[in-house]
Amino acid sequence: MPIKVLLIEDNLDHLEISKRILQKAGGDYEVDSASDSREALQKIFAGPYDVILCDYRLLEVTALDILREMNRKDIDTPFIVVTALGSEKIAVDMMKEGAYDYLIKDVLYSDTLDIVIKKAIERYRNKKEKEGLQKEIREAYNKLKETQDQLIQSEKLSALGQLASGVAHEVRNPLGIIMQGIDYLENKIANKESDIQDTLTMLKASVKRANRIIGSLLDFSRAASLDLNPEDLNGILESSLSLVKVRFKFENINIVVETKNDLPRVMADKNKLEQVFINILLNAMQSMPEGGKIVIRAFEREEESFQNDIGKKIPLNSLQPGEKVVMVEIEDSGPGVPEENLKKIFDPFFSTKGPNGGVGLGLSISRNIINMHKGGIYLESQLGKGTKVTVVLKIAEG
Amino acid sequence: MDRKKILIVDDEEDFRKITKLNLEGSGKFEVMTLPNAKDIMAQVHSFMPEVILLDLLMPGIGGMEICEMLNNDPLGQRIPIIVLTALESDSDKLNAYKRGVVDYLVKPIEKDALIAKIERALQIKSND
Repeated sequence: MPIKVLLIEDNLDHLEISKRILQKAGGDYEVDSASDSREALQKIFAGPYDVILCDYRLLEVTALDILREMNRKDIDTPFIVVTALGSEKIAVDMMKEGAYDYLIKDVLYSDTLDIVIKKAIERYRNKKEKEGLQKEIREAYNKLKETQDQLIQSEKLSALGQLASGVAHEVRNPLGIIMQGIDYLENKIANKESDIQDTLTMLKASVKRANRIIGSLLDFSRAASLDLNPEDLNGILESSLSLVKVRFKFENINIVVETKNDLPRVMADKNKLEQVFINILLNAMQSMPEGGKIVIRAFEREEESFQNDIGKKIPLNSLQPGEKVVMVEIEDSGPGVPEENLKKIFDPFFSTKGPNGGVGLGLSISRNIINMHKGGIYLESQLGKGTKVTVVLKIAEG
Repeated sequence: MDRKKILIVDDEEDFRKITKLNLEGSGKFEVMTLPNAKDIMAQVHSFMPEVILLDLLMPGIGGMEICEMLNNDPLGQRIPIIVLTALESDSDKLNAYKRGVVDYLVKPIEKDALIAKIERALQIKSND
């Protein structure tokens, strides 16, 4: 294959000399030329060339302007600047801007032109090869990092699981004694004064609260393993709803379901996914004590980037570009989440519901479960308008 | 009224004591307690409980093995067993139900709920 060279030179005599030198050099050159910057840029954009030789001082511009225009268009063809004797400083400055090499128009010009061109092309090829290798290494590293993160997360959860089940056993035994003890005292203290009864009721509520925390810790750690199968998402949404709809009716919550009937199956652990949807639905309900509306949507989407927890567009690492996914949106008409809470909303033990509400593990558990599904869960909120939680799930293959 | 006989097997002394007080205090039950599997078969034959409340995790012989001991005994296999434990994993539940227990309760449990569960177990036994 001949080496395609573009010579940019406004002095036609110099242009002719350069052409002849290249022909004499014996290399297999295919030489094209441009005598002003406009023609040069047109030819560069139409390219490609293997190398560009450009005289520094053209009529109305310099080689620097042409190089900058090329950089703007991400054209990285090897660019060699040709300057007059005594202009070496200019040439060095140009190399700082990305020029590959420079040539001085002097007596040695004819001897060095062929060598400089071939050296520039070799450097360009080496650079491209290096970039390719770097890209491969970067991709392999990212993949390794992702796998390592998942492994660490899974080991952490597994260790947490063992710890949680040990703690659960050790704490629930004394809780069992305290609960029976309170029942015993309630029975034994006749004509109870109201403050005694209040104290016993408070004790019982505290035992139940401690027990709920233990239960949530166990739930949190149980996300360590999944039983994945191709599942019908509409069926999972339906059964999640059936478990909460009585409470919704009681709390004056209006449910609108807008799901597509022909959704592809998703790879999911049915029970754990139900747990996620119930968590989200109950959070939505609890944010609307005066009643309100919850809209549930499910649809197929091809997306390369999604919203993250704090509303910024990010790519979902576990998905291939252009991969199709199923998205579930659960949107409420509640008061919304203040900005200062948005960043913490998926943190373990973050709760705004007070001591008698949840222990603040619901969304954290949900995120763990969805991460284990290699999906995504995001929350967007507007004060006074409501909150939307989006769950992204991978489609089952085959 | 005829008080039903309940046997509690649990290694926590305070739990045995307070649960016995509560169940007997209801006037519905006569309760015997054991801290471990030792003597259990002898007590089954002498005390003849109508329901057994059984802890799972105990030093020495655990609740699951006790279930098997009872299942291998002609009298023991007719007594409804309610597991009353602090363990809550699905596999523990599955293993217990596979060994024929009628109910699986997780501590802490309120007295009234426990009594209701015992009465239901007695009902199951009388329907057999």
